[in-house]
Amino acid sequence: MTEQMNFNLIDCPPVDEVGVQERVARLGKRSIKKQVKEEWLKLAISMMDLTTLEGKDSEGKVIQLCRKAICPDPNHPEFPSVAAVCVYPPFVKLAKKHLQGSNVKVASVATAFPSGHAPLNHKIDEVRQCVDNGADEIDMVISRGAFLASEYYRVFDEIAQIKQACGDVHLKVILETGELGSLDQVRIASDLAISAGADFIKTSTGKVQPAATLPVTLVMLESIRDHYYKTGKKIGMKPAGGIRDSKTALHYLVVLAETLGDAWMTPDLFRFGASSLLNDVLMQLVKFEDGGWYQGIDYFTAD
Amino acid sequence: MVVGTKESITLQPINWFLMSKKQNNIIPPLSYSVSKSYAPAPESSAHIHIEKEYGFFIDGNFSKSTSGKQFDSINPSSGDVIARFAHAQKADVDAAVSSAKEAYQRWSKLSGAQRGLYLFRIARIIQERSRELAIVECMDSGKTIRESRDVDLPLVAAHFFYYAGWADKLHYAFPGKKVSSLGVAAQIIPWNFPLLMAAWKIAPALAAGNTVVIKPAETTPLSIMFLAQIFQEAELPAGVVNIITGDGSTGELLVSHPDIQKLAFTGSTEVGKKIMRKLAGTSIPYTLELGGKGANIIFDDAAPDQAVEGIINAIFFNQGHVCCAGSRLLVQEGIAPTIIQKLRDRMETLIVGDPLDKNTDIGAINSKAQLDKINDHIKIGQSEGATLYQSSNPLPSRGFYCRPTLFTDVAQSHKITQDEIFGPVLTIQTFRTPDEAIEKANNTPYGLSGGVWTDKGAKIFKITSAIKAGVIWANTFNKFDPTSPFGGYKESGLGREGGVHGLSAYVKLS
Amino acid sequence: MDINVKKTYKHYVDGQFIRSESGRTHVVTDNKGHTLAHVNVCSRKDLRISVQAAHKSAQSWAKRSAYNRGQILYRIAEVLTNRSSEFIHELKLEGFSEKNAREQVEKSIELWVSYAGWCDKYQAIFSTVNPVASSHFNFSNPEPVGYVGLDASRGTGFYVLNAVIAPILCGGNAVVVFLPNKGVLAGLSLAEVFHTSDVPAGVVNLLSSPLPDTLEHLYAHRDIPSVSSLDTATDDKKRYQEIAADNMKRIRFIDSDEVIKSSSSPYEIMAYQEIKTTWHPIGL
Repeated sequence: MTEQMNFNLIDCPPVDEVGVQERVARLGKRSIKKQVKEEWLKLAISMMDLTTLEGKDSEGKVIQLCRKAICPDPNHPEFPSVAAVCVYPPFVKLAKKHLQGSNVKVASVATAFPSGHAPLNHKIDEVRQCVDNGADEIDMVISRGAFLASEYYRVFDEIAQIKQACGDVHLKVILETGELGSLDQVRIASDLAISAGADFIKTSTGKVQPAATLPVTLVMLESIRDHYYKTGKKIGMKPAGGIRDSKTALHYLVVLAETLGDAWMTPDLFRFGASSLLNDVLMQLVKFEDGGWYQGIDYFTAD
Repeated sequence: MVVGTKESITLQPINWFLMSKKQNNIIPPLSYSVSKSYAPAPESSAHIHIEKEYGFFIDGNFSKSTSGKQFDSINPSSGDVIARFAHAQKADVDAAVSSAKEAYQRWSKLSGAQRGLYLFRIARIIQERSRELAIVECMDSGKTIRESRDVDLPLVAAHFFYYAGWADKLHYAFPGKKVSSLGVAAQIIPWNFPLLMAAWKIAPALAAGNTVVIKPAETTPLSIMFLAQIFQEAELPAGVVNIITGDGSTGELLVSHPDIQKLAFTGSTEVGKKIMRKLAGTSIPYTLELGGKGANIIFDDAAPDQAVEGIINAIFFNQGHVCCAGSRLLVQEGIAPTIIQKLRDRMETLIVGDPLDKNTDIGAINSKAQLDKINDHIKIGQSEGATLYQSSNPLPSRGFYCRPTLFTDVAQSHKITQDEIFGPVLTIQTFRTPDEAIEKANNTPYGLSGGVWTDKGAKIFKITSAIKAGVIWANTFNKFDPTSPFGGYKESGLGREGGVHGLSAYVKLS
Repeated sequence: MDINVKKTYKHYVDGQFIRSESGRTHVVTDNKGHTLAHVNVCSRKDLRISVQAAHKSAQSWAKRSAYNRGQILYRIAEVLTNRSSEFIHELKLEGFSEKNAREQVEKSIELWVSYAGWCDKYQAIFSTVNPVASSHFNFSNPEPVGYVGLDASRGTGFYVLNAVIAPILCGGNAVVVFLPNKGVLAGLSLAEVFHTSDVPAGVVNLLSSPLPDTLEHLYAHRDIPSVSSLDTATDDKKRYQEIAADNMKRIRFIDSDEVIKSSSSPYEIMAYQEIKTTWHPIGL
């Protein structure tokens, strides 16, 4: 049993909601300009998991998304690719094929996303199939009903078994913070997921409001920090859903930079789960080159 | 420890905090270079018009000093002179008091609603000119634009709004009593919150029907001159507020003036005592808001990251130039290593720099003299054997700056724990039981503020009722509001400012 | 231009200016019987949607800081000041004298300023920390009832209207108002003042010319916690109280003459507050 596999509820510290909100607000007052802004906008692109998770997803949609992921702006091929494309399990093989030759990874949601309501063996099978089809990353959901009924051992167990099914494939655990009810619960869920084997903890499926928020992000980053100081291991974090503009993305990066510091400012440890964010970041970046003039959406590709 | 499957649940308490204590020395601390790499984000100040010289504001007009004596006010971020100010002598003080006395005849006879209307106007104009005032405040005092813009100025406007609303309602504040005003209120304010202290003093005085002669601190006389312009814009009747600038000698003249009916002072305990002696034998009522050495108590059941943020705000807000600062940290012994490690990490992201830069967290120390006092105390702390820690943030090359500083291995018997340092210096002591924390917290002649951090409600009320201080913050710190009374026990002063209690200072009850 | 654009008067509900769902109007005339305007009648359905709007807005309005409410009330005074001549004109059209109209408008402005100042003060006067005998921290503080039905249809004029609405808003409640029949034009225009003063949608709902059965529905509506009625006929008081008992409404009968004689008072605010008492142990 590794150090990481210990979870005890009494070890989870309380969280003060007002204090968290104040800290987040203060971090939001940082003024990010010039060189740092340009660097961070590029970093934000390289941290994006470009996502399509809709009932109406089709092969055509996924193929086009993959092109956008590799080359976000054909007029600026020097801009980085995104980190990954995030799709439903049936599209893993297709995405893998169309991302060949690039550094863009394939992340697949699994475990009866988004609700998580399915027999455990179905969920494990689903994960195994995705892994066999070449997924680089698995984004799983925790069983929120069980969690809110305080069945922590069951939630822990599920995560541990999914992690086993992943093998070497990188596991992101979605806490669905919008359903958990309080920041105390977000902290417990974070500690629990990390102890059970998560490589990344992720805020949301994007199907529930509120999705990612800065307060839950801060709490999750603090859980990661405490884990680092306990074990030396670095766990990643991914806010997903509701991050639509550069200003917000930069606010998230400030929170990251001032909570976990330099080592986490990399796609290996931080991702944005987003779709419409990409074009807004591109517009801001091009604005830098273009003498500071505001850009228009017609000049950026819609894929 | 809860392990894997349902069948094998074994319960073994692991103290989270103990683990970190053990692991601490083999895991490299996180590195935060971000605080050194944000691009400058200066608040533009080119459009602000500052005169080369300022006189007094007496009888509704700006006037020169009779003696021609002047003094400089320095911008502490650079050490440069920002403007020259007149140094009030006896004739000037007399003129100001006489103007206030004259204006009192008419001002006190206005209805409360009428006085309220003037105060509402002033509040509104302050809101409109907020940014300008915030910039001027930074330039003269060294505080950061982020704080002056987001904390000081909104509170300044709010105080005027709040007391504007009391002007026609005084009889509700004092049931069973007939309420009348006192007369001329002499007011002396400090350099740490120049405009806010002016608002705290002027607003209630005027609402209650008094007129005012006010002396700002000699290192921060600038922003109140802009406030004087606002009084003119609001058409406040001449002589209702009079402003004289000068140092301690001017203050003394004001305190000893035979024609004042009330004195209000915010500043050091030492000067507060002098004032009490000066006023002994007179019937002049006084309120004093003096120094403090606030204890901030962190229990092991506190929300740790928010408590750390609270500690940071308690001592580094306004560069530690706060009478109610939580300058003594009392941390439960078991979690001390974790809290200290978190503090150190947090201090690495504090940016010390140009007050007018929007990213600056800790601005300039108000004056060379104050910086010297702080540095002297830091040397004393080291020579007394306490362990010093300062963050690695770079400092600007010009101006008066001090890094955020911690002292650990500290006891009550250290001088740095007894003296009010009035700078970004935090002493850290440990305790074992709540009784011990309370005892240490109360073990001081001061009694202005205290802080308690715990997630347990009953404990909050138990501790807050035991601490002998006028303002207690539970799971928060340095929160101010015009509706919330503020003031000290013991040598931190007497009287309250703010709230309904804050009206008592400016009325006569019969 | 000789040919004026005449103003159309509408109900003000949920931050919008709407016509009655009944399609019916009521003619407002001057002293000589000339038509001044057609105002909408208020049907039961109009009342129902207004109550829904008030209900929806009430929670977030109550949660606003007292300071914020004070700012909004002061803004109402500012806007009303700026538009005084308009209101004086509308009152004169309906037969009030120039002197009386001016007095009403000026007094209304003073009243809003005064209540703006009350928003963050009545709590200090009426809240208590109660020295209970056991080891508990015990405090009582006022909480707004939520939303109030205000039948001002029998009231006369403009000042009275402002004087009964202000304490309701000041205390963090929303309100549904049947405007005074005499002075209805100025009452409907008052909606524009609320609308441009950052009063959130649904907090103030102003309805003209209630039909007789609509009046009854106000007193009987199960989703209204509190009703105030201006100048109620003695015969009606008993009946209204009986109907209101169905959901235990807090019911007040207010005399216009008393209102005109008095000025702002925290007791008027407290009439629309509940008192909540909370206990918590003091101990380790």
